[in-house]
Amino acid sequence: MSEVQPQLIEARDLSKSFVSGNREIRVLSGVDLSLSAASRVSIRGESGSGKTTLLNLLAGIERPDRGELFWDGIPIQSLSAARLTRERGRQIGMVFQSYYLIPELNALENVLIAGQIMGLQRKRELRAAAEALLDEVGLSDRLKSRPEQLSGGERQRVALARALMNRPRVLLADEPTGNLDEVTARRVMDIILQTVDRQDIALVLVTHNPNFANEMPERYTLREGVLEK
Amino acid sequence: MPWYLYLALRQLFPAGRWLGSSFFILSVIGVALGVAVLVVVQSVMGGFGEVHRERIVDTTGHLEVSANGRPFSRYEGMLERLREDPKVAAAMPYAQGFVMARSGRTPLFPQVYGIDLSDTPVFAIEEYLVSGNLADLYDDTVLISSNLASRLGVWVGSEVEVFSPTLIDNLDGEEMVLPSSFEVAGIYEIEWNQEFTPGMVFSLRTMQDLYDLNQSIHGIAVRLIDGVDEYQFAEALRAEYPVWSIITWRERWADFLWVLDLEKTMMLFINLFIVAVAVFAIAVAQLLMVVRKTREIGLLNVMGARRREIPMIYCIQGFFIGLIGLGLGISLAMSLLSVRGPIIRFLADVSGTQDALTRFYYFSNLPVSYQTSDFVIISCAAVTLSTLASLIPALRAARMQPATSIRIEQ
Ligand SMILES: Nc1ncnc2c1ncn2[C@@H]1O[C@H](COP(=O)(O)OP(=O)(O)O)[C@@H](O)[C@H]1O
Ligand SMILES: [Mg+2]
Repeated sequence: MSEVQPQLIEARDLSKSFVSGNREIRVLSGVDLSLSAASRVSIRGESGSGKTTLLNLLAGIERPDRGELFWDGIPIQSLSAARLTRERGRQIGMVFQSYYLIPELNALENVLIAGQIMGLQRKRELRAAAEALLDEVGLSDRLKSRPEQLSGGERQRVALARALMNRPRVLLADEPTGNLDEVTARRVMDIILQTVDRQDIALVLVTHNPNFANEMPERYTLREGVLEK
Repeated sequence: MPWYLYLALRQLFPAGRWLGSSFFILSVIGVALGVAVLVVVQSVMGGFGEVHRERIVDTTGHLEVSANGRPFSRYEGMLERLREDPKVAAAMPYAQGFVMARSGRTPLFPQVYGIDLSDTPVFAIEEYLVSGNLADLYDDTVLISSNLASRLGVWVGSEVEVFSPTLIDNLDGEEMVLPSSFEVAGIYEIEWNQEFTPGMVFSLRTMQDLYDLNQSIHGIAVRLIDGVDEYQFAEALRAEYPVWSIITWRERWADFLWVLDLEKTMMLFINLFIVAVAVFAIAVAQLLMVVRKTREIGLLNVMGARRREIPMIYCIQGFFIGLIGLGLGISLAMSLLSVRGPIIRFLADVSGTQDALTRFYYFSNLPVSYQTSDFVIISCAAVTLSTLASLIPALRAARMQPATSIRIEQ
């Protein structure tokens, strides 16, 4: 095994504080994490423990106060804001607890727009790719449905297809089943696991559900700003 | 199609709603109403101006040849020259001045004209006669404006006494000063242009007698064939006869025409505020939309949208609303103007002012003139204003940080 192969994401000693009023809240203090294509990571932690903050740091949405972050060997601190945004679009897919679908677009358009924003593929290929992804998440018969016409589980599946549209190498999922009932959550979780396996994507799953967390080979808990095995 | 254009249009026309979002419909109606007001007012003002200009040309011709206001007598050569010119429709010698006119006890001081009717008249007075007959204008009869006629209380067939300034010159003599007496042969009425209408029209010979002019006149009024450029014609004539004073009607009435234009421009300016109000309402609605969509906007950024692309969504929407509102507003205005007659009659009937309207404003036949320049200005203004107004929400969206935007929970 070659050791020069860079990690998809390499985080070293990430720290982050927020100033709220005149008080400084230390959310993360010295987090290390590295992800390869085979990584299946779960992160648990109490509400407010900094899970979302960590994902945002990994996605380059927020900047750490201290520490280093590499995507595929690129130190992202060195990138301009514009480059960083484009690089994120290429490398990282994200899903959120509340889906964040665009209400005026139907399912197909919600997936397509991710591809159009990045413009990595040609128009005809985009449409085929979006339809294939929606098929993969089991929504090939709901292409024209608007988000308000879809159930929570279906919306999250659309959001998943959207996150995968630009063939990212890492999927960051922030409590993706947090708004779903048990049966639907299981269904969505299975689809997430199947697709990351099939597409060979690293997965970071933030969840409150101990069953889902335990299914991951690599499990962490975030406590007092530190990531514990 | 770039994705932000697609998203901008999709937000205006969400999937499954062919008429567009209510935001879009209301915004377009707002712009359309503002544009409609602009078009209606500008077209009507343009119509007023057009009528005034037509009346001026009808009564004074396109240009006049004179000796700087002094009477002159050796004009036959010039008159011949003009009448033979193929570009000239009519050339007419005239004399002008003021008299005191009296019928009963009221003296009035109208401006009067003496015109030579032997050839085609430049002053198309026959078209404006409301009673009497042009053929009855002899040396002892007079045509009189409807305005003056009603103030003097005379009608066709009445007698009017006229005192000319030359009578006053003769006062130092021993002779008795007697006014000349004229019978009213006809009454003319020039709508819209009462101020500039001469009060009385005599035959040229009578006017020359009244003013002791002998064979002299004050000028030659010239009407050109349709389509001849009066500036070029005047320039050529000036080059040919440098000592004569040759003035086009636009030069002579420059001040008045300027006021007409100013009036119209002021109305345009004032009514633009109606569009501005509509456009600000749109900006407010869009701003609320931006705030409501904070998370989605943050997400677009997370998905890799470039910094300038997100504000484009809102500018495009402003542009489209402006464009469609403009089209709708122009159609609305043209439809309203095409049925203006019935509308005005209805309003006049309802308010019981039918008589007043027709008598004073001639609204029963509201003139309208569509000018390309008006449409260009209104179009640019509507589209630019609504695009500019949407810059406010657009900049707000551009300032959003994705980290804080996507954190906002439902
Ligand atoms: N922009 C911010 N400004 C101030 N405090 C923040 C900000 N973002 C997050 N926090 C705080 O950081 C802590 C961690 O938040 P978060 O990462 O969302 O936790 P979790 O996702 O584990 O519930 C919380 O106490 C939260 O209030
Ligand atoms: Mg969270």
